[in-house]
Amino acid sequence: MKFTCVRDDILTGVNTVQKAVSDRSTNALLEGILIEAGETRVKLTGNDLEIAIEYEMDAEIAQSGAIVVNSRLFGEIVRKIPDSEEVLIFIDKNNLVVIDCELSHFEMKGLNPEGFPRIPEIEKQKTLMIEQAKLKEMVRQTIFSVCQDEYRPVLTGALFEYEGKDLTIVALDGNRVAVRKSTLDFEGDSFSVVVPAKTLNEIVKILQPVNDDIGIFCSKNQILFEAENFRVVSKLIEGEYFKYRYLLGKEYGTKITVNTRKLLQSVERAYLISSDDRDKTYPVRLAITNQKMVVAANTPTGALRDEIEIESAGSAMNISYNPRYLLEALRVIDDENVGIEFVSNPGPCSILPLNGDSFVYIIMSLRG
Amino acid sequence: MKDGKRVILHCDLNNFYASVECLYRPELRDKPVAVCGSQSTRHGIVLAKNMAAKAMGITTGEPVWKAASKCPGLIAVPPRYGLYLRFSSSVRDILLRYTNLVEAFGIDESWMDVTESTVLFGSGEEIAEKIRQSVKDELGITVSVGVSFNKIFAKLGSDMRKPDIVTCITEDNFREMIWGMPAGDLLYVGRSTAVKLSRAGIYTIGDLALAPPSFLTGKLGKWGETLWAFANGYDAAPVCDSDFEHSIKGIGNSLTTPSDLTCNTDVKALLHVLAESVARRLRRHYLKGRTIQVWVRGADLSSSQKQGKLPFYTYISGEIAEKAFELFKSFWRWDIGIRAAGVRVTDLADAEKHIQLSFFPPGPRQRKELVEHCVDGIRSRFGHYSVQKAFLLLEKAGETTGFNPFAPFRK
Repeated sequence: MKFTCVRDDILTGVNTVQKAVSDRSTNALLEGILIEAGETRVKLTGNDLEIAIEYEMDAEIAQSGAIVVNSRLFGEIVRKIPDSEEVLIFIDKNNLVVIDCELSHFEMKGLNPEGFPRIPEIEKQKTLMIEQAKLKEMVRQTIFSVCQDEYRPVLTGALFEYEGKDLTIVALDGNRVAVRKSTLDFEGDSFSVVVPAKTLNEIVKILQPVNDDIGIFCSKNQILFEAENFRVVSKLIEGEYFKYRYLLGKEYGTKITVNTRKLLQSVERAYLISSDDRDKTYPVRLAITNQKMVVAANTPTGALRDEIEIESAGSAMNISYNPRYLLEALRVIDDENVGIEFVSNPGPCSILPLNGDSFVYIIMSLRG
Repeated sequence: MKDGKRVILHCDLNNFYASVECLYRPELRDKPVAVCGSQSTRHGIVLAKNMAAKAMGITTGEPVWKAASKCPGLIAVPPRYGLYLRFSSSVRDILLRYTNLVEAFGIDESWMDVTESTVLFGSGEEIAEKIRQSVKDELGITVSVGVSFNKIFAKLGSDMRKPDIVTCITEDNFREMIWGMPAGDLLYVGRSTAVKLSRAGIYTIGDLALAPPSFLTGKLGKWGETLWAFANGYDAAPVCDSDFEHSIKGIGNSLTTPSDLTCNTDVKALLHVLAESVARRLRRHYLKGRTIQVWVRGADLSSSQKQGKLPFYTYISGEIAEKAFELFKSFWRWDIGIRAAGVRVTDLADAEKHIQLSFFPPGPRQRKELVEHCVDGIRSRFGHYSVQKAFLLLEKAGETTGFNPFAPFRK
């Protein structure tokens, strides 16, 4: 194997596939990146058996071949090569990898690529195509609600539901739900799978804010995200997801319309004084009367009282929430104004767009 | 603040329970009177005594029969806690006229920081004098007040001379006034510390003050240096204001039973009753605990105890009781009967005051927590005995344990 490439290209590739490399493994191959030089392109692969990432880049290939290099060491070497420099990488005898650039010469031991776990092939049956930027946004707008508690494994992932032209991503942890729906130009077979949060966290970092499409393919227990220059394959979480639909569209007693930014800033102020050094969270209280909402918090650290103009309908309401839950939902909403529906006290509230059903965030209140 | 020196008062209500009783029953005033627990339920110790009884050599804490043998004419009266609480808060109201920095130390003692109040009300001694007079005139009981520049010396002052008197201990005279006193009179020097000190040749507060701190640290650990500082007047502990809640380290209840317990079933019932009280107090302070201690006093008055850790923080009475019972069974061999037992929960953490609701049905422990809160609600409306654990009814637990944890404070 022998090829020449630009340092920035291979660095991007290493950074991408490194997300799927084990930090510590009993198998040295799993701590490595597989480098394969084909006819015209070089492919990098990381695979920790939960998630696998492939990245392809252009290179000037003198001789094809393959080698596995330790991900951390190789990454550091590439990072320390000056920007935009050409890099020559080739295998000397005995799997010795040589990395040459203008003034530097590195040598490191490589591993025989035989035995490096192959990325499983996925039957490309259940398919959808979506813009990278859109998928990135949808994941970012839901992923924070995923259950952190290993006690309910199926909830440690997000639900991808595809039906007709609608893709819905759902994340919930029992105290709150995030639902994000988007209608696509593409119509394929419907599916409903649960993708691990870890995979999605990596995907969000890899996805670029571009209009290029990314394809999503699922088999029974795996999902593939495929773009022009990278592929991500991940295990799915098995098990039945929480029946979240029954939480939607409940009758409400109070409905308000509020400026998203104003409410967010107010809740952020409340949050400042709401968490102390013992990781305890104090509530933020929303008191809604005719066309006015008072946001208040009172904690050992301090007190806050904000008044926000709103449009309101229905009865008055005085209810407490964990400010972090409100905060995390409001932060990812891009709409200028949102509607909030309150069912009862204590009880859930639903944060909705003024038009359509592209998202809903449901948060359970605190009692007492 | 003048020269950075504080003016601290310590007020001690003299023979508090007995004084209140004598006030309500003037015919007893000149006779020896002791407020005592009930002998029939075996709580028969002297809780407080008046001056006449004191003159006969009766001491607080001794059994009634012993007191009676010292003083044949002794009049034993039962305690009325509600009354004492009322008096205690009236006294507090008087103290609050001079400063908001009033820190209660039990029902009958308080510290005050009047440093900033001296501008308004005169010197520490003058304020102390006014308090002494007001308490006597308005409430008819007496108070001894210690005036000094720290809490420890103020307390020594109020203990030094009583009743109805003000004692000042200043930076100039404290050596003459207190260094001759036994080390055991110093606050926080308990019986076992006093013994350790006397073994090291330290008998008086002066000995303590003049000993090298490193020597004391060797004998008593870190505490040695603290006591040395106290003896020299280097006590900077603040008087906490009236809104301050003491940080709670542990919550416990113990009980002497009307008759000796002789089997595990009895003990289990008692531990459940105690655990219910402890758990309720935990909930009231929004706390949960993890370490459970059980303490037992045998019929021979020997005591033994054991503690163990739960895997989680809890305020569920059943969990506390079961752990206590498990610990009890692991060390008690039933050679003798049991006279008293206690349950204590330490290693506390804050419980959420505000419960986060969930879409999921509650788990088994959450359900138990909800039951406990529900029982609290029922009991606060309909009384402690309106709802009981079923096996306590079978046991006729009231007779075994004779315990209504909230009876004394019911108004």
